[in-house]
Amino acid sequence: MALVLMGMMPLSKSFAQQSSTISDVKERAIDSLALEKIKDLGKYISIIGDKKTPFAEGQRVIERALELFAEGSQIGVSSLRSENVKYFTVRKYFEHLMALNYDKVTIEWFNIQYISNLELQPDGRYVGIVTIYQKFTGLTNEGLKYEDTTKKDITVYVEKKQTQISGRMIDFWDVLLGDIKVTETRK
Amino acid sequence: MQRVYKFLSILIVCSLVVSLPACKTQKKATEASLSVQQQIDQAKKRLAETMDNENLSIESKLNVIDEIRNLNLSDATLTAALNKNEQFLKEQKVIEEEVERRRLEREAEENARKEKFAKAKTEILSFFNRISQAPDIETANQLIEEALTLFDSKHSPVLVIVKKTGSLKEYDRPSSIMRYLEHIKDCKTYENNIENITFSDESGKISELELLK
Repeated sequence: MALVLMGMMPLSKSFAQQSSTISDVKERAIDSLALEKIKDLGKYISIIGDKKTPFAEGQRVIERALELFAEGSQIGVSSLRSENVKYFTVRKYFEHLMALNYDKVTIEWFNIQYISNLELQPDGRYVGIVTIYQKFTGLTNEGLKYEDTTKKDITVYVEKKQTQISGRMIDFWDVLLGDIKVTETRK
Repeated sequence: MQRVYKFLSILIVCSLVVSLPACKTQKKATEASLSVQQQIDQAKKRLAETMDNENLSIESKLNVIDEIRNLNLSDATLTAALNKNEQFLKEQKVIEEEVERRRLEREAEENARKEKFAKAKTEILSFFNRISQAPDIETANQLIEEALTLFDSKHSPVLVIVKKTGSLKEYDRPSSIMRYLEHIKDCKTYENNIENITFSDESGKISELELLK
């Protein structure tokens, strides 16, 4: 069972009084950790959407991708054909992605940037936002092509937890992704 | 009167002739007995100095004892001291040899441990590299199966250190070797170096892997 280290709270409170941010050393380590998780998600999405991915592999990767998210998170989906952005639960989003009616799908994430510092919340978690650009290309055998580039903001939660490994307690930083909101869609 | 003087002179000369060699013999005997005692004293002194000398090895000290013994000096105190110190030195020699034996044993174990670690590290990194560069899923899966044979179990923990301050380590969310290898397959890259490998006492295989970002 994961536990939040209460011992961090007094230190965190003094941080809260000053800047509500993690110290520079920790911020670099955790920032890069959060970015890494988002890059992993980008690769998972690419694998899941790829029509060449065998079904069993796709299912396995969906499970891995789900583990990156906090419970209740939603992912926005947009289209050039509509101004509306639809929001799905994470599992539904991946199932929708696998079922897209294209013969070839390519999804690429780029310009992944940490746009706001991790800030301490009253519940003890650190929260920040990362922005990414996604290029989506869908091709059919008939030659039809859909392509768009979307800008998305991903909420990131970081929390210090403890767990037991081989009979000893270890501290670890748990990075979980929250909602993925579409902020821009263009051709 | 002259005859008396003559007689007395002859008598004095005769007594001198007889007594002079006896004096010399007695003197020689006295001189010889002083020399033996001196030798004994010197031997005792040398023994004491030898035993006090921390710069001398046990072997050197035992050699000195042998040298003193070979003087064949008849002295109970000296003989007792020689025997006692020889016994002490031989006991010290046994202890020293045991300490050295254990040191060599520890050194051999440490060298064996380092060699095992280096070999395992090379093998694991080779698998990481090959899995990340696998041309297709089937090849990657085959390599994963091979890599898993190095481990106690596919659930063997993999801990990635994200921050290390002295001996204090903070980790990413713990994973298992199976999941970590699949992660390398999915992302087609690995960036972490091997920090520590724990081997199982029972199987001799890897029971835990610690990586460093």
